[in-house]
Formats: sequence, structure tokens, C-alpha cells
Amino acid sequence: MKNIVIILIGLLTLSACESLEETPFDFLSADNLYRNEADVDLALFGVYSSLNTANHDLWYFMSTSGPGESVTTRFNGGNQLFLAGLNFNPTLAHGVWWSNFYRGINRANAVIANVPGVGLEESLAEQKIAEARFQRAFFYFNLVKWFGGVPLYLEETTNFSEEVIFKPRNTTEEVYAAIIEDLQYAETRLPATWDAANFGRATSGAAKGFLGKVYLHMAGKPLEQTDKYALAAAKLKEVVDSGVYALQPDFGSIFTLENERNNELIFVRPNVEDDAAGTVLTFFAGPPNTPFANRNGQYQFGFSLAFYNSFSPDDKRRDVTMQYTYIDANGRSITYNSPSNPQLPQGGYREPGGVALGKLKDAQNDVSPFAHDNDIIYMRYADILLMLAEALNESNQAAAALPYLKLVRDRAGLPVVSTTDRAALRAIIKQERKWELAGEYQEYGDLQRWGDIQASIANNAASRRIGVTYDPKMELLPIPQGQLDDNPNLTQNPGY
Amino acid sequence: MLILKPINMKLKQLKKISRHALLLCFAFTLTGMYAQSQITGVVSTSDGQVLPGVNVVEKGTNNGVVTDFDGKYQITTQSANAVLVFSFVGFETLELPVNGQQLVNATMTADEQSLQEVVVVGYGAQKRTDITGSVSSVEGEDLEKAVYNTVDQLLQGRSAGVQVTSSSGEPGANSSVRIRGNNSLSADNSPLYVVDGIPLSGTPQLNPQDIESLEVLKDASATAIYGSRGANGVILVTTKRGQVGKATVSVYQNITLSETRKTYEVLQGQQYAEFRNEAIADLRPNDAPPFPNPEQYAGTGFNWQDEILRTGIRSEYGVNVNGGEERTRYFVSANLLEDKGIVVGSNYRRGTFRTNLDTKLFNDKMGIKVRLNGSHVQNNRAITSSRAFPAGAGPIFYSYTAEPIVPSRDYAGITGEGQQFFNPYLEATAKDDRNYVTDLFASTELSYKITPELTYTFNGGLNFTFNNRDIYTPSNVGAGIDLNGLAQLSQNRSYDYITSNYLTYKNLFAENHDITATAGVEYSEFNNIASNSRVNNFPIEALGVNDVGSATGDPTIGSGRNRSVIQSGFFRLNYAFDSRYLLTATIRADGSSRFAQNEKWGYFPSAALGWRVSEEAFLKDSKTISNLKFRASIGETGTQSLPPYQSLARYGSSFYGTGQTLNLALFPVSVENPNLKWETTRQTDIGIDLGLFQNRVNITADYFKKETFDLLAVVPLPDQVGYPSYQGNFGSIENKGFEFAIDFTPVQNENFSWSSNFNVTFIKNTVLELFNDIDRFGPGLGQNVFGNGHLYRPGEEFGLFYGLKAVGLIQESDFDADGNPLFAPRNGVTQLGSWKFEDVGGGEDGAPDGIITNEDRQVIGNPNPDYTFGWVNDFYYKNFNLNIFIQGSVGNDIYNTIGTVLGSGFQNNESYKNQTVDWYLNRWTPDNPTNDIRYPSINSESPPVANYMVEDGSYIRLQSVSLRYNIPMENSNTFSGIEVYGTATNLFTITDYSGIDPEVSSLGGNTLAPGVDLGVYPRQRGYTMGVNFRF
Repeated sequence: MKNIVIILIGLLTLSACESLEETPFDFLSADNLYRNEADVDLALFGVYSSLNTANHDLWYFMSTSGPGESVTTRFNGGNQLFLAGLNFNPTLAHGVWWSNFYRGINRANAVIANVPGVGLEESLAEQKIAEARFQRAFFYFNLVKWFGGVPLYLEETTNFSEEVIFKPRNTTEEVYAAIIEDLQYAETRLPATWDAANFGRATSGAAKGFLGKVYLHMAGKPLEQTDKYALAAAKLKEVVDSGVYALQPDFGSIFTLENERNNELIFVRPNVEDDAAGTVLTFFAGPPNTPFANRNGQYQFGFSLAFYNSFSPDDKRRDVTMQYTYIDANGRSITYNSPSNPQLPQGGYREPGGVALGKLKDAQNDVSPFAHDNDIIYMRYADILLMLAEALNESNQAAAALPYLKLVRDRAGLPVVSTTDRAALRAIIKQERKWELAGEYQEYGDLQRWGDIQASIANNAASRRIGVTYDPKMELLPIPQGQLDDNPNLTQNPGY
Repeated sequence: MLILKPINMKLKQLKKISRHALLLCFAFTLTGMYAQSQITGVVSTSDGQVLPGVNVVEKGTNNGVVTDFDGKYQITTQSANAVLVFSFVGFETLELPVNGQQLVNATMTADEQSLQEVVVVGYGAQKRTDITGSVSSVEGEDLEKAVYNTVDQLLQGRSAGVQVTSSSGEPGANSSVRIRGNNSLSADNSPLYVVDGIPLSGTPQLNPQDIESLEVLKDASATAIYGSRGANGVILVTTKRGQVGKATVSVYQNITLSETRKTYEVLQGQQYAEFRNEAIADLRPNDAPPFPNPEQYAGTGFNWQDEILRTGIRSEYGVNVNGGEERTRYFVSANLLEDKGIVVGSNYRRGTFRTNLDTKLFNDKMGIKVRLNGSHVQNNRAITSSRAFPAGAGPIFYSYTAEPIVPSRDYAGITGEGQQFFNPYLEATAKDDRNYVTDLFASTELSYKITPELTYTFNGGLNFTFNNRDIYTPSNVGAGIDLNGLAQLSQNRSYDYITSNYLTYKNLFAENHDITATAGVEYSEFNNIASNSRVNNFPIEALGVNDVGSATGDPTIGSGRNRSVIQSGFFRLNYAFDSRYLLTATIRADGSSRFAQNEKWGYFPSAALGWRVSEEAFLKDSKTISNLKFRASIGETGTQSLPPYQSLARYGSSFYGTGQTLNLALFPVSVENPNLKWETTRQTDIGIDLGLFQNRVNITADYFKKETFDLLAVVPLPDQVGYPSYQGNFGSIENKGFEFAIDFTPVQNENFSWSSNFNVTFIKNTVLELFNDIDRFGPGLGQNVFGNGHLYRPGEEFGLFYGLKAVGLIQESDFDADGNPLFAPRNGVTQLGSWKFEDVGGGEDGAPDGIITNEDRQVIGNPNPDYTFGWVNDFYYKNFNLNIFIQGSVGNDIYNTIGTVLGSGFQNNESYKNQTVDWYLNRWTPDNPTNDIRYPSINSESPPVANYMVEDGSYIRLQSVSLRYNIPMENSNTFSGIEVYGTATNLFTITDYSGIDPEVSSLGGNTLAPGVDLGVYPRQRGYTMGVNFRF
């Protein structure tokens, strides 16, 4: 008996030896991903999806279009009002997208690091890397425009040593240099177009378009490298000459869900109806009980009446951009700032936040708030044309600029401009951008590079409501406080 | 109730056993018509005291009885020449031949060696007197006198150093159990439960009636044998086993009626209409009032609290059978519990069964213990939120805040001023929310005495849990409104296996050197598998979650699976010299799969010394001091409660659309941390056990100091690296405290006794070090309204309340002649009757800057009690027993967040919440320019976290009063005993707290958010009637 027991002990003791190595069952790692082209594409989609987080689009809108004088909010406080009114402080919600852009940068760096090991044919591998580098440039461009020089990460983060995590800011010039290098790599390696199923992925046209835009920003404030105007003009001209893009004949059809993937679009985030891959912006913009946004539409912001009135009544863009009068889901006609203010689904009323946005419309008003289908348009051909006109005008080629301006104004139904006076033309082009691209995330960046923030604030209803006056610090957004807290080497922008 | 087994406890046991004895006696009398010989007698001690509860067995048979309260016994032997064996814990076993006599009195001698309670410790048992660690015990009988559903509630107030806070009054809700404070900021602070030797991965799903005793291991000497899982303390649960003797059948039943302690008096009818009119008139003077003729609403509308609250009915039925022979014993039990809580629509039903079998084989060399437990819960829940966006809080919260004036109780349309109305009554009743939990727990312990000194033990267990939640939110409730009906199904399965093998060597050398050594290995494996699905748009709602195929929406599905293993080796040495000098040393090595490549193995040592001064010659004969022991221990334990795979580089997934195609999107979500490891807690403990007057008074006092370092921390990263944070080890936290427990028996005579025990705990929980010395904050206080309100700052106490300090309300006199404010405004608000806050920072070098921002937050409260205490009194008079249990907490603050929501009249997201009458009548108005910060004006700003939410949460509660009566059964031929009792639970509470209940933890699931009251399922006051029958 004793022996049996001893044997038993031995067996039981030995049987208890399972490995302490962890076997993951329900997630992947870099080791078992990146086996073929399809895998690389999934990782590239991962890079693109960095901006698909719940409220990213709201705060991106509020801090890019919001600070322009055209946007107002119904809120008496909070992030919406402070961003729209340029009452910036380091704890506002713009910190959300600082984080999202950097998340995307690291994901892009991971793809760049892993593609060479997949064993793709060289040109295909380069195309994949180009797609990642294009996105990285797009992310850095967003950061550098609104924050100035930011820490530059061009390698995947694989450890959290202090050198990695406490990296200080690079200069604005250094960041732009990296962006240019990425876009130049991308423009020659990306395809000119994608098939319908892949629409929205980076193209050579998008790389050139952004390169042109980057030059234009470098030529303006704060760097004022005016020699870049010529580079911008040349690069933007390449986009025009590519023949891939054209203006939609009808301004309204650029934005409809039926006409998605039209050839005016250069770079978009192509949303689909899904909580993880849609946009919430339509919901936040839409008035309640409408046939064009979730029926509980938040109507948190809209355009000021002054902006509405700045349009010529003949301008075909006015009633596409803004819905001064519309038919609600119950068939009632709603007119802005009148007794027929927007109604909740079964009646009742919500204080308007300005004239409602018209560029984001989703006929499914029972869709989940986060799942609106509307694509987020980061760049379209009209922007290229106006930038090209601006770059030519600033390069002393006003006459050459006029045809591009004309294309845009013709479609809007506005008369031909014939002045070649640089300052006069500049003013016209600026105003044209405001009308053409209202609510398309351009306003604050344009005011910045033009040095027009101070002038704009006087007309900014939100600023007036909270008594904000111009301060040079407003030329940049403050570095988010949470980032300063977590990185002692990060310095705040001046004035905050 | 610490350390030393007090004599009154023993007496209670005696009485309990004596009751059995009585019953048995009569049973025998009644069935004894074939008796050969009837023998009676009295059993007493050598100094003449009668001994109840002594086992009297006819030698060589199963025929046995137990002495009654007066020490008397009556046994019918099968042979006139029988030998009677008298046995009793703490006394030498006595054998007396009957020799044809009918009267056999016995005098038993105390056994100095065995006059020692044996206490279960990890991987073995020890005499209480030999224990050098801090271990306290709660006996099953104490627990039977209160009404509990879950095991964790049993411990509240019963043991020094243990703090139990129930998160809500929902039937079946779990409580937060903390042994000697919070050790960790991000890992789990719950203790390890070990049931019959098997360490579990959660709170055991047992019927509390099946528990024989609970041992709470507190210091490192006691817990280090559990290594990387011991840092939060260990609770050893021992279930009942059969007693040798004739089978005893107990059938019990009780029923509890319960009600809420308190409700909020919120605005109704006309007053509500006036409030809303006034609010709109103030905000938008040109608008029409929402309730044009307020008078017409007088007496109309709904008090939603009345609609969703009811008298709760809890009923419990159970039966257990126990008995056995010398070699084989059994305990079989079944229990059915139904708890229809005080919120309509809630119904918790549970069935449990247990079979415990103990047997000895091969001349008692081999022992086998089999434990089988199954439980099944069906819980219809009524309290959870069903609104996904904006944030929701469920029917309890809405019953306070919902608009009272709506057309009907089932109304689900639009309120008077055009907002979607979320009906709390429908949320509680129309929503179908069912939780099914099936738990199977089985273990087998096999021990074999290889030599008289050496024993081998195998203990193997398995615990399978199946947890399913099926929810249907119809199209008139919460999120279902927008989604036209929403079904959510989730399923979680866990399969845990645990085996341990160990050898125990015990020997006494040279008379004085007593050595016990235990060494063994253990293997644990935890498997979790989960899946969930969700679908909306139900054309027919009758089927709901029971037929998700009838939905037309696109379903969402998900699943996950993980496994972790722990391999361990452990060793313990107990050495006692001459019963005076005690030494315990333990070490455990744990290898855990959860930790990183470089840190798989951890080693957890402990050492303790004890000096039994009362065994020294100079005290041995003391009449006063019957026991005196000094103890000191030091050791290290760990916490490894983080999810598996945290050290690995992982990829996560989402979706991304291109064109109109939805693509899978993959991306890195973590970076490998090759150094991720357990938290280590180093604890020192100094204690004293003192027994006076033959242990009629027992005092235990302990001072302890714990420092936990290498805290498992989600270390914040600057987002520039691509990740917001990583799982690492950083920071340290300290708990210092003092525990004191006294058991005493002020009165003890034949007909009446009074025993009492009192315990009190003082703990100071301090954050020592955090990553980069950056302050950490708790989560938001909830409801899309409030920001975070808890501070974790090196050098400060755990979880201090942190927010603005309101110093008054804005009055007309607070402006200068030009109308400029003379105070620092927040967000530019200068509205009369809004709060004025203290400006303490934000400027250069932290100087006041003239505006109120987050920089002006300061410490405004402390959720940590100065002390907590429990006090149990037991009175016995003849067949009556009165048990009174009082417990309380002193010096802690509460965030009365719900109070602020209901008492500040603010507009949130364009809607108003109903308010209390108290606020409405006392609010700031131009005619009533109060400066009381609890009464701001209508349309005050949306309240930031500030001192007006903070209240003193101290309380003393009469937790339970139980009166029991044993009906004398001399003349019954059916029952051997009937006990009837009535118990009142939560009878009254002395507190200054203005909310529903000061014992509150709305965000209890989050360690970092103690003491928040957001309106939880109210804790009930219950009245129980019960009866126990024994056959």
C-alpha cells in the first residue's frame, strides 16, 4: 500500500506540469499577421481606422471648422462653445484627436516596419509602404498645422524606454520635412485610382494634392516660406493635369450618399453604415426629427445667420451648404429662427444652434447615431482649384489663377472675376474658399496661414458671446494638458 | 472574534449540540420498545460543572446520544454489559462499563493537550494556541442568525480588519470585501476564497447555511502560503460535514417581508408644473410655459418611486440530513431561495444542493472527503440601465428624476415640453432581463498516513460556472425606443481546475520539540470562454429575446477565450518548543502564465514568532490570566489579478469602410512588456492574545503595516507613442492599522447567559508613490454631468474626494457699482443664486487667478472611515436566544451625487430632472437670498464636482435582531426539535446622511471610486419569520 501511495504521489505531482507560456486564442500578434498582401491590407485599414472613434469627427469639426467665423453652437458653455469661440485651453476636447492622429502614426510605422518581411514583390511592397507613409504624412500634417512642431516618430514603438516616451517636440520645419519626404515617396508609388470596392484608399493624386497643400501652408504663416507658393502651384497643377478629377456639375451632388465615389473627391474617409466604421458627425449636426440625420439629431452647431446672408441669393452653394428651410420627418416645413423651429419626433422643440448643415445628409433617420454613412471629405477637386489659384496669385501669376477660380465660381452661378490685382484677387479667393469649403475642416487652418484670425474674431458670434478677444496664442491650439502631464519634456505653445 | 476561541463560543456550541441531544434522546425513547437496557446519567467535570453536548456512544455500535443542557443523558443499550464511550472536545475520552447498572454518571477530565480548538489554515489545520499569525474565525452558528443571500455578506461586522460594503440592495448583489484595506489601485482588492482547501477564482456560490466556519487569514504568516494570490487576505470556507450518530433531518423555512428605508420626497402635480414653468420663464422668457395652468395638475401625476417600489418577499426552504458511523459520515443539503426584491420586476431565485461525504479506509490510514456543490440562479433583474446614449442609469435613478406629469403609468411618448420620456416603471417591468448562473463545484481530498508521522494529501477540485444573460429591451423602453426593440445575449463559461499534493510531517522530539512540516505542489488552470450577440428591430415584440431570429436588424456577434495557469510549490514549518516558543516559517513559489517572460516565477516567504507567556512557570498558575500570547510576523504576498496576456504584444481589430465595403482592420494595441509581474505586499504584524478568568474574557489586538509595491498599474503614456497607457508595475501604497476584538461572557449561569463580542478596526490607507508622481483620478461620477472626483496623490490618503469648494451663492451684493463680479466666476457664470467657488489656484506658481477652473479643485472629503466596528450580543434564557448585531462606520464621507442631481434645479441637455421638495421650497430666489450652497437658484449652472455633494457618511446600524425559541419537544412523537424565530434586518440606522442609505457604493465595481451615491437599488429593511424542524 505504501508503495502504491508513493507512486501515486509521483504521478500526481508530475501531471501538474503545464507550460507557463501563454497561448493566445482570440487575438493576433505581429508574428502571425503579415503573411501576405491581404494581411498587409488589413493592417493598412487599421491605420485608416485610427480616426474612427466615437466622437473624433465632432471634435475634429469643432476645432477645424469651429473656430471659423461661420460656425456657431447652441451651447452656453462647454467644449463646443470654447472651440467655436477660440477660447482655447489645454483641457478642451481637441486632445481627443491629438491622440487619434498619433495612434495612426504608430500604426503606420508598424506597417512600414513589417511589410519588408512579408516577401511581396518589390514594387508591391513599396506601394504598401507608400500607402502607410501617405497616411503618416496626413496625420503629421494635421498635427503640425494646428499645434506647430510636434514630437516626430518615424519608427514603430516597441518599448517604453524614457527616450521613446519622453521625446520632446521637433521643430515645425522638421515635421514638415518629414511630411514632404513621405508624400514624395508616396506620389510616385501609389496608384492613380482604385476600384469601387477600394475607393478611399490613398492615391497618387491625393499625395500630390496634399503635397501642394503642405507647400501652401508652409508658404503662409507661421513659416512664411513664400518660395513654396511656386512649388505648391506646380504640384497642384499636376493634379489638375492628371485628368482623374473634375468638378461635379451640380454642387449638391458632391455630398449625396447616392453619388459617393464621384470624381471630385480626392481623399475621403469612406464611411459605411456601422457603429465602428460610420460617422457620428451627421447626428451631432442634424436637427432632430429630420429625414437626413438620426431622428434625435443633436443640432449642436450650425452656420451663423451672418454667414448665410453673406452668400449671394444666386449662389447655388448656399442652400446646399445650409438648410435655412427644410421639410422635417413629419412633412412640416421648418424655417430657421421662426416659430416653426425644429421639432422633436413627436413634437416639442429644440433650440437651434445656427442654420443647419446641409452637406451631411443621411436619409436613414433611424440609423445608430455612430453609424451614419456620410463620407468625411478631407480633400476634393474644388479645393485643389482654389489652392492652385491662390498659389498662382501669390506667385505673381494672377492672370493664370483666374481660369481655376472661374471653374469654381461658374458652378456656383457667380459672375466671372477678372481682376488681376493681387490683393483684390487674394480677398476674392479667400472668400471663395469660405463659401465653397464651409464646414469641410478648412477654416481654422486657412485663417492661420493667412494671418486672419484676429480679423475673423470680430465676426465670430461664439467669440462675442463669451467676450473673447484676439490673443496671439490663438494662432495655435494648446498642447493637450494630459499630454503635458504625461511627458515632462513636452512644452506648451506660447501663451497657454 | 479573533485568534482565541472564547469560552462563550464553546458554550454556544454546547447548547447547540445539547439541542440535538434532547431530540435524539426522545427519538430513542419513542422507538426504544425493544430496548435491552435503559441507562441514564449525568456527565460533569472534575470540579462539578455539568457538561452538555458530550457524545455518549455504546462501544462498537453506532448507538449514541449527546448530553443535554443539564449534562444528562439517556441511552438504551443493546447489551446490559455494554461499555459507554464519553467523548468531548477538550476532554480525555472516557470509557465506562455499564455492568448492569441503570445509572452511570461520568466525570470527565480536561485534556490539556487537546483543550485546543483546531483551526483550519492553508493546507492543513493547527491548534488555535499554536497559531502565530493573525487569523479570525466566524462560526456557522453566528451566521445562522441573520438573513443573507451570499457568502460575502456574512462577514460584515463580524471580524476585525474586514470591511464589507454591499454595492446595492439588489437580491444577489455582490459586496466589496476588503481585508485590511485596499492594497492595489488597479488590480482586484478582493480576498482569495478557499473552499474546503480549493482556492477559487471568485466569490463562492454557496448556500450560506452549509457553512460550518469561515477563517479569515490576515497577516503574511497566515497568507503567504497562498503566495501570489494572498495579498488581499484569504477567506477559508469550511462546509459542514456529518456528525457521528443517528441521522438528523432538519427542515427549515423562513419568510421575509421587506421595504425600503426611505424615499426622496420629489415634486408632484401642481408644484412640479410650477417649477417647470418657472424654469422656462427664467431661461427663455418669450416661450410659452410648458404647463399653462399649473393648478389643473394638482393631485395628478405619478410618484415613480411608489410605482416601482413594493414590499419585497423573500422565502427560503431547505432541508439537510446529516449523520454517519465512525468511519463514514455524510451531510446532504438542499435549499431553495426566492427573493422578490423591493423593486417591481426583480426576482432572484436560487437552488443549491450539497453532498459532503467523509470516509476512512484501511484502518483509518486513508481518509477521503468528497464535496459536491451545485447552485443555479435565475435572476430577473430590474435595475440596470437600458439606455445606451446618452448615458442612462436605470429605473431607480429615473424614479427620482422622471417627470411626474404624464398621461399614464405606461406612457412612453414625449413629455410636456418635447423630450422623450423614459418611463422608469416600464424600464423595471417591460424590460426582460434574465441572468442565469449555474455553478458546479466539486472536490475530493484524499489523505494517507504513510507512517504515523507522515501524511500524504491530494486535494483536487473543479469549478464550472455558466453565466448567461438574456436581455430584451422593448420598443417603449430606453434604448429599445430608437432601435425598435433590442435583444442582447451573452454567455460566459469558465472551467477551473485545481489540484494540490502535499506531505505533512508531524513529530514530537525529546518531549519538547514539536515540529510540523508541510510541503507540496499545486496546479491551477482557469479557462474562460465568452460569446455575445445583439440584434434589433423586432416587428413582433412578443417573442423578444426568446426568438432573436424574428428580428430584422443586422446582428452583431462576438466571442473570446482565454486561459491562464499557475504552478506552485509551497513549504511550511511549524516549530514549538515546550508549547511556549512558537515559530512558523513558510515559503511559496508561484509560476503564473499571466506574467511576462522574465518574471514568470515569484517567491513569497514569511516568518512568525509566538511566545505563550501563559505557559511560563510564573503565569501558569495564575487565576486571572488564562492565556497570554505575543505574536510577531513578517512576510510577502502577491496579487496577480490582471487579465491574461497583458504582457504580450497584441493586435486588436475594428472595421474600416472602403467604397461601400466593410473591411476588417487590424492594428497593434499593446507592446510586449517583458517585465510585467505581480504586485508584492510586505506586511508586518504584531499581535497579542489575552484570555482572562478562564478565558471568559478574550482580547485580541493587532497592529499591522502593509506596503504594496510594484503596483500593477495602467501606466499613462503620452499618446505620442501611439498608445495611451501600458500595463506595468509602478507605485506603492500603504495600509497601517490597528484591530481590536474582545469576547466576553458577563453572565453565565444555568438559566441565563450573555455573551458579547466587539471588534473595531482602524486603518489608514495611504498612496506612497505613483508613476512620475502624477496625480491619478477616479472615474467620472456619472450621468454625463459630473467629472471625476477622486484623487490619488502620493502622500495622501486613498481616494480623497477632490473638487471645487463652493463658499456660498452669488448675491446682488457680490458685484461692484459697474456690475463687475467681486468673486471669481466659473465659465463666466454670474447668475444670481449660482455657486461661488473658492479661487485657490490656476495662476503663476499656483496663485489664485481670478477665475474658477480645474486648478481650483481641492480636497473636499475623505471616503475612508476612521474606524469600523461590529458588536454581537447573544442572550440565552432557558429556551430563548436573543441575538443583537450592531455595526457601523465612522468618519467617512459620501458623495451624495444623486442628492445634487435632485437638488440644484439645473438644465442638463435641455431637460430638467425632477427635484426634491426640500430644494424647491428653500432654493435661492430674489425673495429668499439664501447663502446655503445646497439651495442654488433654478437654472443654476450644471454642477461641477464640489463640496455640496459631500456629506458625512458615518453610521451606526442595528444590522439584525433575532429572537429564537426552542419549543420543548418532550411529548412529541414526530419532531425531535422545533425552533421558531423572528429576525429583523436593518432595523434602524443612526446617521446624519441625508440620502437613502449611508452604506453605499454605486460605483463599487471600480476600486478607484469609493463612497459614491448615484441612487442604487435601495437596501431593504426586512422582517423574517422562520421555523426549523428537526426529526
